[in-house]
Amino acid sequence: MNGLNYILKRILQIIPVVFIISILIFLMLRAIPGDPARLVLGEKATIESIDAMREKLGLNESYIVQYGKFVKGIVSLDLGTSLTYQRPVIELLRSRVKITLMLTLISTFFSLLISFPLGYYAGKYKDSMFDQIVKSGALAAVSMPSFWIGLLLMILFGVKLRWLPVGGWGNTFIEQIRSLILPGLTMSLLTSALLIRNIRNSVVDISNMDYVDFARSKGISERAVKNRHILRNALISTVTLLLMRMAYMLGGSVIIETVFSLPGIGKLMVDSIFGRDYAVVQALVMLFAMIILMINLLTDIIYSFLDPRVKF
Amino acid sequence: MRKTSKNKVLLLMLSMILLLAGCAPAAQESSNTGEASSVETEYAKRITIGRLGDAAYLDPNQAVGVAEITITQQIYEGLVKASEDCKNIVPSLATDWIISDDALVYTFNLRPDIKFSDGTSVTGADWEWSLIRARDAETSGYRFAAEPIESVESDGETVVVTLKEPSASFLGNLCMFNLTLGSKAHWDAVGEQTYAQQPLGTGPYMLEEWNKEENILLVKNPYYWREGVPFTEELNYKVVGDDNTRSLQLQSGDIDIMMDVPFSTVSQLEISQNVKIHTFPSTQIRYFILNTTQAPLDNQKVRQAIGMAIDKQELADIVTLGFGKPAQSLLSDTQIQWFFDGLEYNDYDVEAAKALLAEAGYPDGVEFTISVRSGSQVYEQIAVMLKSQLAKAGINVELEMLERASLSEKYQTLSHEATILQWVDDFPDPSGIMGWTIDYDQCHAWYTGLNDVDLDQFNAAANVELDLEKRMEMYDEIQQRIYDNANVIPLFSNSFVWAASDKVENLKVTPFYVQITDNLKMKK
Repeated sequence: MNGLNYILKRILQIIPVVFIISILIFLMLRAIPGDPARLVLGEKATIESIDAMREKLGLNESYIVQYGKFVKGIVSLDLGTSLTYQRPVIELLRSRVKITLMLTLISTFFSLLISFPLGYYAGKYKDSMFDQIVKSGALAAVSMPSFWIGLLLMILFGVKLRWLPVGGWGNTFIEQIRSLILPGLTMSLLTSALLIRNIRNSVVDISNMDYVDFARSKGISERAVKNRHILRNALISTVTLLLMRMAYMLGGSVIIETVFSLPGIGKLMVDSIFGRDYAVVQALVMLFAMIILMINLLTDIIYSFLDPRVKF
Repeated sequence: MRKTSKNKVLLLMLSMILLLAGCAPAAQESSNTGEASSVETEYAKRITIGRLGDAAYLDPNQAVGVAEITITQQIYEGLVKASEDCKNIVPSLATDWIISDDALVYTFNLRPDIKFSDGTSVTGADWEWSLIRARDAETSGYRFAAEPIESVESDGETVVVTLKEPSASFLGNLCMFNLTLGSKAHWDAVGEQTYAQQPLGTGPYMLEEWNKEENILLVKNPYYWREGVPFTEELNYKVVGDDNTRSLQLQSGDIDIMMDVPFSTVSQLEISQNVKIHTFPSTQIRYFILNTTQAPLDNQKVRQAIGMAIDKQELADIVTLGFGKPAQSLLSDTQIQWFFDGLEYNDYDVEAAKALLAEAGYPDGVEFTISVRSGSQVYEQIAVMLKSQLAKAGINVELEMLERASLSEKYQTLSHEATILQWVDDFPDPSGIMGWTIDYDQCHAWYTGLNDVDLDQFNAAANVELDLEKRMEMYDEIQQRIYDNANVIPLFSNSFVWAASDKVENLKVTPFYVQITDNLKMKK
């Protein structure tokens, strides 16, 4: 019951945060120089046509009226029409969120696949040759820019071997999965590197704890020691890190999306800011805010399962 | 035992991914999808074209940029059009025309039995609606082309256009992408907003599918009036924003044609097998735009000195890597009839520039800021080179990198000092760029703030001068006067550079950046 109360309280706390974010994003967008009407019309726009476009887009209305429309839109889930794409924002988000979500999941899957075995064994055999190689590899993965890795992977798997498409998005599910493998892998490298370091260090620390020695001295099998005592404790900080990375990935990566020509929300966000597409930026910021708030809440809840000491 | 089974699960998952990757068809085949049907078997049904960005509207009378025009020109057609070399005006939906002696009434004879791509017949009402809409579309930056129109009448066999006053450029204006024929019935049925997303015209292709920011699929218009044209059934315009990715996709066969190859990527593509570089003469010129409302650029001699201190040859060589040449006149020499080859211009001369600066009252040189569009290699390169070249003449330049929105706000409100912009002509007449550079009301004389009333009147007179010889002389004088004003300094012209698979045949792009797709084909 206490737990439920806590969750309810946390959800209620979200409301004022969202409200403040909506005011901030509304004002910040309008504070940066650049007129949407000019951008829609392009370089050869005449002064006359810009005025007409401003009127058409409702940019001549007062901020209060514009903000009122924005809030009304959020409440009624009508997020307006995108300037640049001439589509309802909600429709635009639907297709793009799917891509970013799939990319995040695939990338997380790769990260887990790479980081857990490497991190655990590097920690278990601390200072061994294997540990050194894993540590250097992780450092290299953190240091290499993802657009470069992406291009290298595309040259190898797309141009030379022709196993996978060179960027782009498919029509069928199989095509879509195929087009997400390289970006997913590229994106997972950084996450994996971070996780590997974290898991390795946790395993090293935890292995030296008295309770691990105690567990062993009780005669518990090595596998049970690993799973129940070492990995489970190592998971606590790893889960936080992973969820934070997932929240970050759900925001979309403009570099990965540009290099792999994937129409996800990261690129949409950047393009919309450059295009001063107010409706889209506002909707996306609100969406990101909700995702971050939700993931934070989720992290706290998962914590209570992993660590019995955490109580609400 | 259990440990091994866990490992097996991992291995299984990994192999499934690899299997998934291996089983599906190779990437190369994806662009050549579709079996041969009506098209001859040795040629592909579909050609995939990789381009930088997607269109917003497919309505030539709403906001348009190059991403939009590329597509609408395949869907919509007008009465006349520019010839492939852009030097003449040739018939399109009109077979011939008569211009009244007072140059006010244009009577066009129409081709019989023209149909829209949905099979409905073109009526006189469609013509009247289309041309008047082009004139009255308030948010269109190109309505100036239709501005001279007083009224339009059409019975379906002829179109009679009456002008408010004589206009020497009007036939040229009619080649513009916004003075084209659309379906009024369709517009009435779907409304303005949907019309821009579901275009309906009489052109060689029609819109089949549009996945925003992914691709636009055009298919052959079954009712197209020209027999056997276009050759290729489907054109798939695919958005690939990153230049490197676009060129890798061309090499891997994911796309067949790559539009707008950056100059710096050409050498890399040249050495790759099965790829051919195509260059086309263009009317594209980059210009140095000086704001004459701010000191020291308000001084004509200072501006002229800046012009003399720029080594345009070096600029063209380094930025375009051999695909460009220095430009002196405002007008592209591709518009050969109008280009003034007798222009008196100053050669690159640092000492003379210094002397002219001293004469202008700035013996110690001048300082100003160039606002440059960030993220564009060409513009950044030009800016850096200008800075180093001008420094030799004692002109100290600061560079300010701005993203597109901030930059356009800055120059459109005349709060910049200098910037770099470009122009590509849209129709075979000099009035477009001349008006843009001289007319103060339209755009503050191309964001230079120079209100040369005398030149403005002279330009207006040239626009209505019906004697061709005399009009050409007037434009020669205008080109000289703009050069002397030095508010817009032409830097260099360059070719359009595209790349394509070596199986692609008849790839053509006109100097106005219109893709001619009549006989575009690709071997399987």
